[in-house]
Amino acid sequence: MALANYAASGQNERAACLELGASKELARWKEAGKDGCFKEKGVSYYPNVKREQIPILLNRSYEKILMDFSDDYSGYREELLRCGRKIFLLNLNPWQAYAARELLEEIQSDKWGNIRPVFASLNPQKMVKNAIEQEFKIQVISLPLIPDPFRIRPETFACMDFLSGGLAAKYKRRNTLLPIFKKS
Amino acid sequence: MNIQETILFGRYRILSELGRGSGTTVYLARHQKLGGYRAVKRILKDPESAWKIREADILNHLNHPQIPHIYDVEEDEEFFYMVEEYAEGESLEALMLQSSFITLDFICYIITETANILDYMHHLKPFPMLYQDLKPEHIIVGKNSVKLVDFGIADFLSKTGNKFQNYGTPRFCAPEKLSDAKVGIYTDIYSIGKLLEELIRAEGNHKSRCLMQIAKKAADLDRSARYASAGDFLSAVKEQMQSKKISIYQGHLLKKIVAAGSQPHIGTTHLSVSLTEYFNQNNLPAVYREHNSSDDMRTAARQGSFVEEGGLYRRKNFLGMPAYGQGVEVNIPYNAIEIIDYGSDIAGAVSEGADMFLLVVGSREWETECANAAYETAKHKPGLVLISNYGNKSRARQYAKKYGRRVYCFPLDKDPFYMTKEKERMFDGLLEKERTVTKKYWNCRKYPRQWRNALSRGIGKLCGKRAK
Repeated sequence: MALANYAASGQNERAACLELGASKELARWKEAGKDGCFKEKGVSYYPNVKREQIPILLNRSYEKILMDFSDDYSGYREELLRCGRKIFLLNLNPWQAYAARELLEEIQSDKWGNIRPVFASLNPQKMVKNAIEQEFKIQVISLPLIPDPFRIRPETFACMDFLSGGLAAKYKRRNTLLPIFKKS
Repeated sequence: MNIQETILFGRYRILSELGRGSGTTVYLARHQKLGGYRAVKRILKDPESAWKIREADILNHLNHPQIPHIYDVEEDEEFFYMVEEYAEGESLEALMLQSSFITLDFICYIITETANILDYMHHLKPFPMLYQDLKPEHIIVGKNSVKLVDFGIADFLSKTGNKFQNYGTPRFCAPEKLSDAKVGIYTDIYSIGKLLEELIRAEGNHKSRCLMQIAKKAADLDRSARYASAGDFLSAVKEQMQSKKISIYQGHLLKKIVAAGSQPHIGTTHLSVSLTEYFNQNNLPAVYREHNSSDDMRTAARQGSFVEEGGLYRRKNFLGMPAYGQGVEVNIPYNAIEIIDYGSDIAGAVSEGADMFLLVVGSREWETECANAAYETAKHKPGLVLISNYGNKSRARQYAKKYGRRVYCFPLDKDPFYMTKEKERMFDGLLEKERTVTKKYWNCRKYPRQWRNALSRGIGKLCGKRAK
């Protein structure tokens, strides 16, 4: 949601957020209109999207579409591979790290070729993060805390740009926090 | 207890007593080795006071510069001891006794800072926290900051409401707390509304009537009629204070300028950027704000013309803000003059409240029709200033004759970031004529003697001495 809001409000793009997993959080939040979506702060939210609807939505005039596959990696692997940017959010709390390991093992067992997804985690524990990074030869990005996804503050713009794979390299920045590049 | 000689737990030397409550005494102490001051809260042990120790747990969860840190919890046979950061300063309650302290600026400062703290607490994850005991006594006003102390009955908001509903100060307590109904964020909003009410009464000035309306809304008996969040309350106060400053004290100051053009590509952006540069060159902070669909700022940023700084784009002294949506929160520097570029959206520009409205019209023959239509839409807007572009003075005179008002002629210009003499002369004339004050007082107080005018003060002193 933060990424979708940043795309719509921060980058002035037509953005949509699709909920594909089984969590149905968007459906619980608001009721969709006739076109299967509801709008909030410039973002079109599509709850309960089915796999066959994805090509139709991709052909609509959105500049950025964020797909939330929830925890169903194996179910949406093909769709995920087609995405321009692949972000995996890992919960690296010590008692949840096993789930991250399982997912990473599953990803590594698949052939991804030269495609490199982004692995990110919110406030990861340093030791767990280092261990995962060494074990799987990946880099896990520490995400800054975003208290309200509907009020993105400038401190997190750099991180949002990086995650959305867009403008980070093209923009020059000064005096901004770049938590993603913090040495852990 | 001889407080001067007591050393608690071999670390904290008690210096004095700061306050006393029911079964609780707060001491000022000094760490023996580190030397820093601490507030030591001593709580009498009894079966009912065990929950008071929860404050330590609550404070341990909070990390905010305006909330005291907790350092230690100790106990002996009779008491619990909580060692907290010492909030240096005077309580708001004490300050309110001296009415000279209470000015509109002071009220705004206190309320803004307090609402910020509440906003932080209300946004804690996974559960928001309620303070529940907001009153002047618990607000410590220091040299550079405001701190909120005494989290004795603060609690995390669970789905079922709060356990300690019956505590709190009746004067600042929301009705739902007194009636044992479910409490929520609105309970703290009520208290801050009451606090604002008290402050306004202490100030005793009729100019705060609009603020009083905000206080009344926040402290409405019907909880659904109150502000939805501390953030909403805060923005209402800020908005009110800003407009108040303009209307009461700083009516002659420029704060917000709106620019719109009679049609697209008429030079509105060029003029707005030039005006921003002009203010900057005169040492007045100004920010250009894009409020149209052109997305020129971002395009220029992508080409490397700007450096991004806190959501604003900088190019030497120039600061610009691209068009952001509602999902992003970027603030322009306080005290900066805001120059909003509405592009060709005349209706939008007219609906925006501003100190000055610059309407840019073209001076070519085929542009006069749009100019007339735009003028018809905007002619009743207060602070309207007409600017004819491309340096065509005869067309500007024609417009002036037709509309019966002054029309300024913006010279032909290549670079909006470079201030030419013609542009400077034009802006000098425009601001002096339209603002009816001379250039050096645009952004300072109307009467120079009130504004730390060292020269006039010095002359005044000399004259006074001679007269004696």
